[in-house]
Amino acid sequence: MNDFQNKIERSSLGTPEARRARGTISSKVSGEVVQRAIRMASTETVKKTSRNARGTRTERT
Amino acid sequence: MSESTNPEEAHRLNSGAHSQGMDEDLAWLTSADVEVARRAEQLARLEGDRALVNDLVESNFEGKKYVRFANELAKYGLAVIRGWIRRDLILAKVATRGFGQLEAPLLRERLIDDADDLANETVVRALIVFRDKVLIPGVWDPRKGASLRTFFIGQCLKQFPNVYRSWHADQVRNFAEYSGLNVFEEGPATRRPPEPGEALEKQEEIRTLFGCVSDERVKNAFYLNAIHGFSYAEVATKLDMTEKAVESAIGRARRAIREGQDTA
Repeated sequence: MNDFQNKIERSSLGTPEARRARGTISSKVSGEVVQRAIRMASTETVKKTSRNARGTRTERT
Repeated sequence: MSESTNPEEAHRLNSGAHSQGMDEDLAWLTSADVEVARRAEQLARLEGDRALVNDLVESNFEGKKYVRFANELAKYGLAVIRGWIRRDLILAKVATRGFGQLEAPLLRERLIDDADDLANETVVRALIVFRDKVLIPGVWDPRKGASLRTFFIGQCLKQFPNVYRSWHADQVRNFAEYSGLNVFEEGPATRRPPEPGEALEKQEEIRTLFGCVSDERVKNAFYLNAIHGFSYAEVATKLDMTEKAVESAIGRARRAIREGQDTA
């Protein structure tokens, strides 16, 4: 996982200004945001799947 | 999942020592050389973005790697969007990127107070779309020159208008609801549900009337009392005013609104 973190630091998220910006947000806050996004995305997937199974129009997300 | 950056490194980066050191290293170069060096750095970062995305493709944008990447992306997005909201730049940024002209908030202070919530909601939506509509279908292409983080901020700006419109509608609705109770009337509350079709007209009217209150201190006192239901004593504490001054300010706000209504 350290190797992957190094990849993040070599990307555009790893520039000094991006690192400074990231440093202002706690991992707790970003973690909650990410978990909400993952939950919402999976809910949308379930909705789409059940609509398809019923043979109704697929909702664009 | 802990941060891999050690505290000394984080401090050095946060204090700007890294970029300062880089500037000193480049001091002997001509401006053209500096531009070449910057361009090389930019290309290296784009290559880094590409390598990162390739790694995520292998894990199908799922699992621990994706979560770690999304965390860092979210931190960056949150910092940028919060900053633009607090510095009153966000509506201009949205307009500049062609994502629409948004109506100004009733109270700028309220927008700043809610900056964290608005940024959180924006980044949640942007993360979903960025993964499903940009990264997985391979829409982002490093050869076109935009970095991953720039692309993500673009996505945040695209998502912000819907988040903002919903927030703004709530603000107007709250104000309209209160005004239906007792802003324009003295005495007991006379709540009545708006007729269909009346709501939009009412919102516009309220927004215009609220503009009649020009003194920010009066507006704030009235807003805290009217919208949030704080007592005169509580408003006085919050705004560092006397209770008598709050009562007087709210009276002035009511008069200004009533006069605005009469002349409308």
